[in-house]
Amino acid sequence: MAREIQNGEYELGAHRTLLQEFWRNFRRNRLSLIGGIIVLFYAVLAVFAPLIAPYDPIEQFDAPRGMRNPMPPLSRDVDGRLFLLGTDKFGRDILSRAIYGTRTLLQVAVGSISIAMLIGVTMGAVAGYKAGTWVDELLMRAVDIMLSFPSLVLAIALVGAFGIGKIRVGPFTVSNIVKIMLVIAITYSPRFARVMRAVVLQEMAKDYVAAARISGASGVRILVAEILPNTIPPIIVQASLMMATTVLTTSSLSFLGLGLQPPRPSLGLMLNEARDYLFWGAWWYAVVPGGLITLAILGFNLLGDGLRDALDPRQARRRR
Amino acid sequence: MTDVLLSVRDLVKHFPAAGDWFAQIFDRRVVRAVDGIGFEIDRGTTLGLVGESGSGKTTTGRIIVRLIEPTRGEILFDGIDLLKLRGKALKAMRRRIQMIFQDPASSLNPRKTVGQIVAEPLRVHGMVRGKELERRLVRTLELAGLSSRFLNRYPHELSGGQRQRVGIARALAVGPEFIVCDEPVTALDVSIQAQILNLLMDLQDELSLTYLFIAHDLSVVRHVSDRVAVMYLGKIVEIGEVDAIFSAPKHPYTQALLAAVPRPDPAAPPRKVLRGEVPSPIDPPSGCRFHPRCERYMGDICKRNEPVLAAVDGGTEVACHLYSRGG
Repeated sequence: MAREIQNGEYELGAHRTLLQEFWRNFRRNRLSLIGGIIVLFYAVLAVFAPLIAPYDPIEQFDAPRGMRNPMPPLSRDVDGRLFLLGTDKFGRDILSRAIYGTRTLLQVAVGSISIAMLIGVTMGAVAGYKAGTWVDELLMRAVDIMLSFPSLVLAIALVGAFGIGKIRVGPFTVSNIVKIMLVIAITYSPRFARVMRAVVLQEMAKDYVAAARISGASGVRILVAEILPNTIPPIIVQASLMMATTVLTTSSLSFLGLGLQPPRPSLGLMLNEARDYLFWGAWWYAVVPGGLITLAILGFNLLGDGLRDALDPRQARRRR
Repeated sequence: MTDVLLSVRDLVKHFPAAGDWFAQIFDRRVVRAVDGIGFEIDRGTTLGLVGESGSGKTTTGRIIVRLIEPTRGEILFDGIDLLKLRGKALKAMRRRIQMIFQDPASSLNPRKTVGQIVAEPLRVHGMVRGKELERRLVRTLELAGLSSRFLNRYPHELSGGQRQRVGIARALAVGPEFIVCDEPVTALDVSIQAQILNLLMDLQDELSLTYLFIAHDLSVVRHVSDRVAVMYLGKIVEIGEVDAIFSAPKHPYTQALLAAVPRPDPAAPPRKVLRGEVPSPIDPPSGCRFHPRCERYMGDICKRNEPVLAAVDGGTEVACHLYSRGG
């Protein structure tokens, strides 16, 4: 039988890959580019902290005669070493501490967002796939309960329950930093569950899921191989926006003395120490960690907004 | 001798009208999407299923491919009770019954290539692998009129007609005998519609396929069907040979539907348009469901008694008191 076979030639320049499409949309928005650059700056700072930091963050230096720690920016110690951003109350270099503090802050933020994503996405995917059943009901009511607490209050309560410092669970010892990641992950996983459930529901209504079922694919296969890849963009957007919140929560916990413990450099803890010296005129002590936290939150928020506009055109805000 | 492949008896699907289980405690009303229908399809033929939106035709198709569990009823496929199949037996049956969807944009996973989409059913059933899979893919694509260049293409790179061909290739991949075509050309341009329809008919001849062809476009149904069933509010009101139905429609609803088809003839009398709206399937009219809109409403009998499908001369079956009265 003579059947006209359609050839898959590209029409000239008419096609772009999804990635190119994304980049085109993303680039168009200048604010999100700035957000991306800020985030990149932080990533470099965190990854190369040992190379960038001029001194060991916990080494103490002595103030020269006639001066005392904390010393203002651009001062020198007894041996003539220069401190670009000054020193703290124990004579430690603020610039180095800030760089290492940024590193731990991002470690905690990335770690806890990854765990939160894992927990939340699994919960949301199951709830969405089983929508309308008791499984869905159980999971979503648990999510509702957790979301009804202010997140910082919930995090503080969890730290209170686990205790400060490292904890032992049977034969395992969980280090303090991992414990903080877990606390924050538990606090924020419900938000991922919400988003994931909504996206899964939306995708389930599409006929490619019906087609997979008619093909005889199992529920797990449909969920993992068919639906999951289509939920990635909104989850990435959510993760990026949540990074900003997580940075704030991590710093807040440290500020309250419930997070990372000294002498480990931590921006929140530095901010707390700086309080005592604000009236002495030691502005640099608070401005450096405070500025770094603020800029990080700004960067992740701008990036998240930009990603949402580029990946999810339906939710994009009108610009220009 | 007629060789019945699919036989549907007293099929009923009621959806709960309320959203979740909590609301359903207080609201026990149901949407009577399909309310006791029956038909048979002979091997190698096409039954066209027509009706307005909300008439239950899509639900019927989805029950047959086991996407929706019916409230009750019986479906015999090649002598096997479809609705009793579970697990392995159901999976094996899925190789014999496939579906083509209305909207090719939503029925193809945007993250998968054409090759992956068409290979999916083959992989699930573990039918072929490796080199043989590759050969099978190319052959299946060619059946649907696509060259092997499409294998690594993503759905968003294709035109509507090409996408629908991918959907057809996916349905054909496992070598089914029966395909439910759920408005397969509704989302396409008129020029493409003809191509796809002809492709479906060619495939039917080549592979001796049996179709349930769901559509609301009467000219499309007339073109492809051997027999036609007309649905209204979850009931079949008329079923018969395509020529008999189109040349001499019996049921007033069928007559109204056909009268509404635009004719390219300026001298034709103005079209009669059906009065009123389709009533809610939550609370359908008593007696004959069509009586509030019927041109030949005969009073109490139509309001009180529900007409049943009965053969009239010309070989069609009609559910209307106009024909049952004289007996």
